[in-house]
Amino acid sequence: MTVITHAFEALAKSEREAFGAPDHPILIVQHPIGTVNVDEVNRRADAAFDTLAEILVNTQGIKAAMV
Amino acid sequence: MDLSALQAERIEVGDDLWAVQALFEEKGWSDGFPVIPPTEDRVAQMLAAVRRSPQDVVGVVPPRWAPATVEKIAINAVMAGCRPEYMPVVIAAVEAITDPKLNLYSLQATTGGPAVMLIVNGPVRNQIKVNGGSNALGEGWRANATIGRCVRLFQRNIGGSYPGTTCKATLGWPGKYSICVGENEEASPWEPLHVERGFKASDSTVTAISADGSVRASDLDSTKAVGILSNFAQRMEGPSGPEAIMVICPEHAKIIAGDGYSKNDVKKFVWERAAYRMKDLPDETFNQRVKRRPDLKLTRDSVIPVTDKPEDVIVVVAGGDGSQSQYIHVWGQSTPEGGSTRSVTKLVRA
Repeated sequence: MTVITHAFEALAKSEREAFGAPDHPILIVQHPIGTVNVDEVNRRADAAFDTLAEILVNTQGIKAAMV
Repeated sequence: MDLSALQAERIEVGDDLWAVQALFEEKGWSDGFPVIPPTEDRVAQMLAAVRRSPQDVVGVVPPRWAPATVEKIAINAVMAGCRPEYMPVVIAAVEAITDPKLNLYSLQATTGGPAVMLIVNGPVRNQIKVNGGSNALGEGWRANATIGRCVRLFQRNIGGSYPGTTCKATLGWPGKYSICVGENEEASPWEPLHVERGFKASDSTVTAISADGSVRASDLDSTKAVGILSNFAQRMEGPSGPEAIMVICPEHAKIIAGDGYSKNDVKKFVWERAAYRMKDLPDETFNQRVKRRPDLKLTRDSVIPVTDKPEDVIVVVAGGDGSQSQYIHVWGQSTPEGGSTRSVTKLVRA
């Protein structure tokens, strides 16, 4: 799976089509992460963790999830 | 030219040029400027200028990772306004921009918004009139304008790079429309770029490099190399890149070489002076820099040179009369592995 920020959603979806993996799961987190402090990054990581774990173990497959 | 060998979809449109432009705009096939309609005849003229099959794949273009066939290259070259005799240079440019070392995907996906700059060397410059003299980085020469424009159209129409979605440039810069320059080899006191890179002087080459903006290194006061180069180095201070481009005007080059400086001496001189000083940074920025390059073991007394090594500074001579050189910053990260992008030079084949 791939974790991206929402600003890169269209690009990520284009890439998985281009590489022939349209079902490759992506987890979309809030943008930006480059200009926020470490505490905020950690908060977002904690908030995303359960969804990330669900994508990794979900046998039905999740194409995209946003947290 | 057997037109049946062409595989591109044929689209019927009336003779009204405005209607043609409207179609291209609606389809998203233009960089914003009007395009030359790529009719069968015009595409065939382009293809006749190279000894390649229309379906030969020259490279794959991100982010769609689509094959750039000679036919698709020819179509976009027509749209950009190229003359057929530019095609060998255009093909070499595609080879360069699709070389994995350039890492075109990251160039077009980054928020940094760099252009892909082309530097043309060798006899082909004069054969097709690629300007390396007065206003070399500006307007007025069809070869410079349209060959450079091709690079953008390839990324858009073959690679699927669209601003705001698959191209994530925050601002971009005008070089993204077109930036192509010939080295002014005739006015240079040094060996040209392609000879530095192992090609013969009689070879023609195209070099592709990430470029994200320029700063004028004007100096009308200095009559010695040390002054011109010290001034130039000041323009180059700031965050480093994997490479850096010094476009030195002939008047400056003559003085610098006259004082005994080789190209390597020039690179070493500016590399020792153009730096990012850790002592000047706020704590937060400093700490991030330390984390980003643990291999450099940075302290508050450290300086980060403009590139990791002096030889990563690229020196080309271009321009006309005047004491106006330019520094062009190369987008990308310096990394222990050599950088996130590297310039690529390809031979132009007749």
